[in-house]
Amino acid sequence: MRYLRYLLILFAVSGLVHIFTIFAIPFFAKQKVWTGVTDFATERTFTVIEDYKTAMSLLGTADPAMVYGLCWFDLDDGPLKLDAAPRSFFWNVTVFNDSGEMIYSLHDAASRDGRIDLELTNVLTEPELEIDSEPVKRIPVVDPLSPPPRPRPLTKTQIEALIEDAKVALEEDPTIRAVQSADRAFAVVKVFRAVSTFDKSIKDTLKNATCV
Amino acid sequence: MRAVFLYIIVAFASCVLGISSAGYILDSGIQFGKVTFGPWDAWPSAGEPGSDPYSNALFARSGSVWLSNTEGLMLIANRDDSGQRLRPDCSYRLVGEIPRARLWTLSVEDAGTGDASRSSSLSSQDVIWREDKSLEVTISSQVTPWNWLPVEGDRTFNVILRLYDTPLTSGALEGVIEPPSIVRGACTNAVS
Repeated sequence: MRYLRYLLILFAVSGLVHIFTIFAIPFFAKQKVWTGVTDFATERTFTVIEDYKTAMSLLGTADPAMVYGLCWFDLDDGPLKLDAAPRSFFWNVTVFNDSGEMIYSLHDAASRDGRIDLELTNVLTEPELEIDSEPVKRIPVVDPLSPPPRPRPLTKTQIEALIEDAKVALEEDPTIRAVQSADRAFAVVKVFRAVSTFDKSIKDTLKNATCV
Repeated sequence: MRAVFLYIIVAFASCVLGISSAGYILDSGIQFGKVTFGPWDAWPSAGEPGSDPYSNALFARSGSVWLSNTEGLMLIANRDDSGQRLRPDCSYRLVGEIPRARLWTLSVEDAGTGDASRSSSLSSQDVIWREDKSLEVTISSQVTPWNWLPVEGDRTFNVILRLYDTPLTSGALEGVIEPPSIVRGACTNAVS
């Protein structure tokens, strides 16, 4: 009976140690990718990853059909502007926090003219929002016995007008802006190369990329 | 005095048991969040913030940044349709339809190191489709006509199918996608 008590303590403490270990691993391991990236490139400098093996060692997994480039930054130091013009059928920009978790992703289909034109800010460096001077509209109390009429669904013409407005807005200001909660982060740009002979030309265009 | 000694032993054993059980679970294979389709495995929530603690620990320990759900979907096959490991001395036929995506790439990598040769990849931009819009790719160390994905080395390998900009989402994967099958052909060494 006395030994049963020790056995119960053993299982209870083992369980706690197990849970602690599982939760502690990401905390201690998070520096692995981040350290590799910060050792490889200079802060706020876009760096092309010249070969597949380097991409593998930095990112742990890499697609041999892609050309990779990256830059790292601290958004507490100010907004980040990533600008590049990769000439390819497909590109993607993914932003990871210092734990290697994806926090933002963008495909070429979302940009104008196939350019990477992305501005990242965090809540500290985001420009102050304009305060609306209009009084706050209170939500009316709905009487369940006589509910207000449902809003009409948008007509095809209205939807087309909204799409057109969005296109005009993108034409006027093609920069895609995203507010992030992270401070230290890195952006990985991957550009599809249809055949290996395109490798050099894609890398050349990426070498002109800026990350400031 | 004896009780103190017993408590010390229990504390030490608890630490060993707790840490080793965590290590064993993580080493036993990436099972958390895994979705299986025939020979293919996918981890749709890999690298996403807010995954379960075991997935977080597993992917943090791997030191890899995975293809996230918003970026695309990565399918990995380390076995053929009959459940046997993929070997470089055998040829395989990858037959079927590729799930919908704006771009997909197909590559092979060493099962142990994850290393992939630069020459060993195909994509939706450079394959020849069959008349019924399905695909047939030969994965072999021997040169073959039509779509050929070369294999090098003498160790078991994985086939990686990356779907970029795909409408597939993690919540509706099962039953929605039917990745191609991997059928084993002739082998130069008579190993079962």
